[in-house]
Amino acid sequence: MTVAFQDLFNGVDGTDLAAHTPDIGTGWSKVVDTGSTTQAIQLDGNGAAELSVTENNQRVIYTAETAAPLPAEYDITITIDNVSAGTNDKMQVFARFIDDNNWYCMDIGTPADSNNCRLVVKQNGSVTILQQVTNDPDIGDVYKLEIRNAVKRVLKNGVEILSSNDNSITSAGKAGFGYGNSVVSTDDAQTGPRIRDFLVETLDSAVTLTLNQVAWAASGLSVLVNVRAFLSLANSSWQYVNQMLGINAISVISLLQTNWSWGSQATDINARLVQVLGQTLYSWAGVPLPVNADLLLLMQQVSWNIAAENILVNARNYFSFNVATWSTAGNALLSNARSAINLSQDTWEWAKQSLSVTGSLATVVSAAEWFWRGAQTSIFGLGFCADDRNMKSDHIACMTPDQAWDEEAHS
Amino acid sequence: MGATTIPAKLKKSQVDGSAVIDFDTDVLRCMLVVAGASAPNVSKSGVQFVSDVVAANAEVTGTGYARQTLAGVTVAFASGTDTVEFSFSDITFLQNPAGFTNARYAVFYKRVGADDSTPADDPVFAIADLDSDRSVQSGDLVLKAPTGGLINWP
Repeated sequence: MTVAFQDLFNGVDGTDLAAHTPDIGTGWSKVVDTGSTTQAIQLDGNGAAELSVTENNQRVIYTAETAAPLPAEYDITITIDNVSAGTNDKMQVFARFIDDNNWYCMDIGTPADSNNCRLVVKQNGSVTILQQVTNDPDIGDVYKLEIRNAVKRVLKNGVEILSSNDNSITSAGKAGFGYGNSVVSTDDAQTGPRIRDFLVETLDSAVTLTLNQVAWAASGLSVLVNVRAFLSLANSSWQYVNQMLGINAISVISLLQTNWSWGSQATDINARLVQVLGQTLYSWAGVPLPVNADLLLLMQQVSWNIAAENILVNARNYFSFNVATWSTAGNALLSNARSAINLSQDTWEWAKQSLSVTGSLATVVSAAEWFWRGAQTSIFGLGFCADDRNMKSDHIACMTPDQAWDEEAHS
Repeated sequence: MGATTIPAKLKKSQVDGSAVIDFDTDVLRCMLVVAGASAPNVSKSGVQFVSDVVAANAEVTGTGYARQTLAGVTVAFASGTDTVEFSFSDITFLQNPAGFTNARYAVFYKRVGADDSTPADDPVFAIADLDSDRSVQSGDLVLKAPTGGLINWP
């Protein structure tokens, strides 16, 4: 709860609340004084508030002024400092106070009264007692008027003694208190009753928790693997959907799944020393695959199906593709290997994509059949071997660093 | 916010038909339980029904607390994808100065029968970790399904 207003009524005896600064809040306003002589609620000098003079069949009401308007739901708590020994000497605590004709209140009488605790609403000048009980007040009793849209309650020392579902007045209004005949015209505004520690608390903002989503299947998650020495993924069946796999290994990565299905996710693999991709079946669709290996990269899939994605391979020393069947369409292969590249697929079909291979030491292309159509091909290497029995290409340019060799010159 | 989990037994019962939930027509409810010694066990040896959950994680108590029936339930494809999403309107546990103070897990289940009097046949389909003990003594507690639904089937 948040304290919107509080007054411990400390100050000089006889000070009108209208001239008194509360502990929290901006002040007090006298809004009703029906007597023929001016009555005030004033400090009694001992941490309480009482009437300045007595007038029978009259009333005085003060409202608590807050820095910001109150919300419609709040609690008002007071402590009984003194009760009258007589009858009909009433005190009231008001909520949703709009004016003298529209409010809720708890009305507290004396031990000599019957029905000396009442929950009351006054709307358009008409008073309705929502619930009442005979429950004698005593010095030190703590009363709370709890105002919610759904329910209005009166609690005495933490125990509910009155309640009502009435919500005929919905405006926030103001909190306040007073003495006299607000509920029953013959009640009196007497100097005997006193209250202390007037407290107004508002509800905290609702705590809204957005729950986490869960997928029914074991998917939709990210997997990030960081190992320093060796990583071996050797599941007999691995199905991954809509998630990212990030693998960083300093020395060795071995991916040896029999069946690996990968869809719609990004994969980032970085290995410093050795990387072996040896899946029997490797299906990859719609995602980029960047592979970076400092020393050795071996891809030895029996079947590799890659569509519409880019492959970027950076291997410093050795790069070998030993895929029995490689079907690649609409994608680019960019390979940069400093020392050796070995492309030795039995069947290599490549259509409408670019192939850029740069090898510092040796580049070996030894596919049994090589179909290359409609794409720019450029191969750079200090040593180059094209060992294909059937090479077909619309345009091939193979160049050593010092020499350009084109298909037309050798046709 | 902590993880939301689906009991393994619920997955199995949903597949083998032993305790099937129709997510858009059955009466689906939300209850709150305390932290207990540990989180409810959602493995294949763990909870399946409401009675299993409350055996280890008691339901919260407090003035004004009541289990809530999910409203505004939807089961639909996510826009532009083949993913099926299950969602619902915000669940509000109203403030009460004497309300509960120790709700740690939200338990979602299907109510079988006319009321909650037979917890041993009410299958639990999700358990959400609320991260810490939650109170309603000073303000409402609202549980909101995430964008894309509490559960999805990709």
